[in-house]
Amino acid sequence: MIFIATLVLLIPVVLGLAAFSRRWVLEPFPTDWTLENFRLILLESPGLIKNSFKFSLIALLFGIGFGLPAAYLIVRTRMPGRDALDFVITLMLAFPGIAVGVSYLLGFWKTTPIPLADSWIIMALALFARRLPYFLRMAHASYLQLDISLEEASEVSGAGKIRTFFNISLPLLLKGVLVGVVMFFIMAFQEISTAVFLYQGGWETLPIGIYLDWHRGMEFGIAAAKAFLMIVITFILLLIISRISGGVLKAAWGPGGT
Amino acid sequence: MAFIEIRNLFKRFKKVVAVNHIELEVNEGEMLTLLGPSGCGKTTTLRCIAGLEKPEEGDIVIDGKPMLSQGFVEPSKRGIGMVFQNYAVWPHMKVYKNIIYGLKLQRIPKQEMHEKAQQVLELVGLDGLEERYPVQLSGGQQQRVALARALVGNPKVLLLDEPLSNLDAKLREELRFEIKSLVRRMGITSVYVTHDQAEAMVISDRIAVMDSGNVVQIGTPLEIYDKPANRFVADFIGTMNFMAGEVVQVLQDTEAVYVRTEFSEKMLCKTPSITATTPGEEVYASIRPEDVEVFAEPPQGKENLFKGTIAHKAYLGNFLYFFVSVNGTMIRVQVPHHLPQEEGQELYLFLNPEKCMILL
Repeated sequence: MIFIATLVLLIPVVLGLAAFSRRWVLEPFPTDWTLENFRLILLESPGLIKNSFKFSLIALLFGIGFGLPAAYLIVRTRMPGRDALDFVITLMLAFPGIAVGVSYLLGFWKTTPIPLADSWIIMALALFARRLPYFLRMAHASYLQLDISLEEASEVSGAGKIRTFFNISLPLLLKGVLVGVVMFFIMAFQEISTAVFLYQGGWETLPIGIYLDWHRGMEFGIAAAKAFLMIVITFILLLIISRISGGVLKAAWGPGGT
Repeated sequence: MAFIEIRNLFKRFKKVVAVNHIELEVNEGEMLTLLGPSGCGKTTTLRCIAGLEKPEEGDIVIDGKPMLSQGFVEPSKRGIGMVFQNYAVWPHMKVYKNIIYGLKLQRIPKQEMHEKAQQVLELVGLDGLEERYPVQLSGGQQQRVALARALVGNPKVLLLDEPLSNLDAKLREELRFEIKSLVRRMGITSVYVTHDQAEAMVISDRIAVMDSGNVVQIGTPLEIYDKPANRFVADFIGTMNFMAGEVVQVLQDTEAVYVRTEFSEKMLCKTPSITATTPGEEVYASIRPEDVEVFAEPPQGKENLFKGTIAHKAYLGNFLYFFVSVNGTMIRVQVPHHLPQEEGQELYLFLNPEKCMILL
């Protein structure tokens, strides 16, 4: 228990100490406290934060736009090829981020028929593709839990399939999917192994920024501050999701609801 | 012309035939029950009427309008109300919203919608619970919501898919009568699916007994109980003693048949409208346990009188079951609960020829 707690809590503690100090190298604890690192990030590279949000959000929109219908096809229809679809998406789990990054870089290179690697959209696309299986699995699971007769009852009551989806399926799926959405966003937000191969000047995200700071050497404080910032953002997202899923939805489902 | 006509309906799932070219008619204002064991095709038939399944062949005509032959009519356009086994009440809507859902889709004025909802809420005994969420209701109340939701739009047809089988026994019995009187009062043509024969007997005007995708017999509960079409129906509805045997003689003028069974050379079966048979044919001489009479001493001048030994005695409160062994054949007999005979004692069974039927 203590061992696990140490492994987890060491991260924010060390990063925090490093982020709020200057030149913490030789002492057991930093002696020179400062906010300089954060000032530098916000003044000199707000683009990183902006890029991180931009790419992750677009990846997320792709994810919802593609993942929900895919889950619907796989769970609710007898469409031929739906098992193949499931397999192909799940296959993505087998590829490490480096493989995705390198193959997209080569496959979408300037000289290929689809020169996507030349546009920043490749960043969002790669984040989307890499994390799609997670989203699909979660959407899939919540679809499976949704009793089909709830949808059928709506159809019999006079609603068409599309209306039924928006009136019945979507609100009931929301809880499961919402968690999926936030997890997807967090994973996309923190992604580096794919992105580091694809980025060009001006497309750097926060994780890439951290890597570069470290790589250039001796900018440990700034790197730590960026990492700390990412943790805070992620933490806030998690907090929001726990509030939404525990608050609003609990009220909607009534006390003792699931 | 019947209100619902099912013509030559055929539906299969991959290689399994669920509904095998059935013909069925439901009259206006009638409650017809599809009864049968699980897998007999009763639910699939109901779902075909609702439009939730697309059959491969055949047609369904509701109130003169074909649902299949002139293009598939979507469930939302069929003007039906449906109650599902697991209630299917929408958990994210309050009771009131659940009930007015269909009316809202029809863009009915708010005032009228409210009146209709109140009416139907009172009808099912849920007034006062409009603002509850379904999880705050008991199973029985949830099914009442589902019933109200199905009835509120004045559907042409009400479909009920085992609506009571998730409820406990007491409540099930209570709701049976409620549904019956409610539907009868509103005069809605309804199709009810169940595997519970007692429920079917109580609730239906007519019963269609189904077995492996076929309709085996259609009739009033009384007809089906008294004159089962075959061994399957007789076994499924109520209890029946089947005595395997061979026809030895057919008496044309009195419509009676002599059967040789394992325990007797000649047993007389006289029930009219018995299945036509010829000597030598293998049949089941059958009699219901309550139709067997028992005697301590052999009465005079009775045919079909057999001596047996009580092998088991089962006390069921308001009556007794004797399992009587007649030369090794076990016959179940229902007798008044005060009979004093004990296991191992001998008695005489009178298998009244008027109540004995021949089944295949």
